Amino acid sequence: MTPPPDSPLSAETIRAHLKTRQLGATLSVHEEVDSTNRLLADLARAGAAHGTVVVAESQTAGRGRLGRPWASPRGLNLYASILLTQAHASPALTWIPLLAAVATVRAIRAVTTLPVKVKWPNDVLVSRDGDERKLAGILVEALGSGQAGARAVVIGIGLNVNMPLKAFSEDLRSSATSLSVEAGHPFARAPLLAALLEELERLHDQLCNHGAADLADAYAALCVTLGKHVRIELVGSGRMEGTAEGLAPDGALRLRTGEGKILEIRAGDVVHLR
Amino acid sequence: MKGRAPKPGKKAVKPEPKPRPDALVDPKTLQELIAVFQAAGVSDLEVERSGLRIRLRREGAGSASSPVEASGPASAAGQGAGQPKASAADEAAEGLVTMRSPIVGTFYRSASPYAESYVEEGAYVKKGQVLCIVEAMKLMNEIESEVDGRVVKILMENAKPVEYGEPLFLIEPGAQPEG
Repeated sequence: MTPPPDSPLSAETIRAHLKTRQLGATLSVHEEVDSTNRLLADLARAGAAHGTVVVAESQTAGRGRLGRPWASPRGLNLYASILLTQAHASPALTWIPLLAAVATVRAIRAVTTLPVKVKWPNDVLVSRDGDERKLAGILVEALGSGQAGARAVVIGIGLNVNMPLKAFSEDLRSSATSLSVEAGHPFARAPLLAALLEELERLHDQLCNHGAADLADAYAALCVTLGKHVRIELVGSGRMEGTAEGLAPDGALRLRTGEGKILEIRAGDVVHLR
Repeated sequence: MKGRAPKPGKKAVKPEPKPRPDALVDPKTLQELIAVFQAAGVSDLEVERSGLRIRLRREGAGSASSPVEASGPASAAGQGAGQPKASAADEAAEGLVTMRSPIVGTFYRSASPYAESYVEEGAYVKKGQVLCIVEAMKLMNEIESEVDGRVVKILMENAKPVEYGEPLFLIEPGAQPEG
């Protein structure tokens, strides 16, 4: 039995690294949950405070967009959900998933020089010579969405930290990776999570106080999709191709088609073609 | 509480329609009729001319508990060539609450392609109950019912794009399951 690559997470070890004002002020670490997003959404409905954070050592039903499963083995990775309850008007709201990706990349870059990038809208990947492997997945759920915005936003982040390649299911081995696989050594998770919460808080404060302009610039600098020829696969059978030209004011992807039409893409899976 | 129309009138009154020589099916005429109907605050309006009959009725006015149905004209709503077919907007004006998309995105009736739909037509819902998800930029927006009531109509197909403000559901407020 090989020793675990990192000591177990606890609220104390995370707090020891935490320099935030609000994010993580209420923080719980669980051995096992079905889904940190599910748990935190329930806490939010019961009145949990802005900045509440739920962390788990393992998830039995970790999930991504459209119920896609997220592999969540025990003790190896970070599975965390963060609650934002400050009022979000619609234009700021759609930037939250992109904001979470920027925060994740910055937190990772604070501990490693790996070429970590973002695929639109918020897949965090290691990108080397056209070879892209997913490092982190982000699922943002807005509760009580109405004309005035959302009552609360739950940001779920699954970050593959110390997961060995053999721990990935076979179908994921060519497309997923972890920090330790890429860097060749394990990482301490508590300071990584603390850094992630700090970046999230900073970017969120900036978005709420000054709008999305700076975030849009920071995002564009990290986004590998921009400038690429891409295919957009919509739910169902729809698909379209074009060049990813830039972002719309709400964070949508501007796609220039072969006929020169500009489309704004807000949903669907992006495939980088070249 | 956008989209909520005034409550249906308590009494069935038949205001005298202005005589119009032109065809009643003319859309402009129909619009004027609807305006008269709404301004009168009644729940039932019937206009007949040259064998052509148009009947306007507020949604819910014909329910068993309503006294209007008993004293009103015989149920001949389906007859008459000029019978207006209520569009979503018209229905919304008849005491229903329209739930609209607060965001541009993709409409989903369930949490995942394998999960059951949040609601079906005819379902009774509570205020705050999740009706659907609209996704934009991987932001999954849970849209909650603004009222207690019954889902009269689901206006969008699953996994289709929706625009800002596009009507998604028609809900009859206050409706409760029997028993």
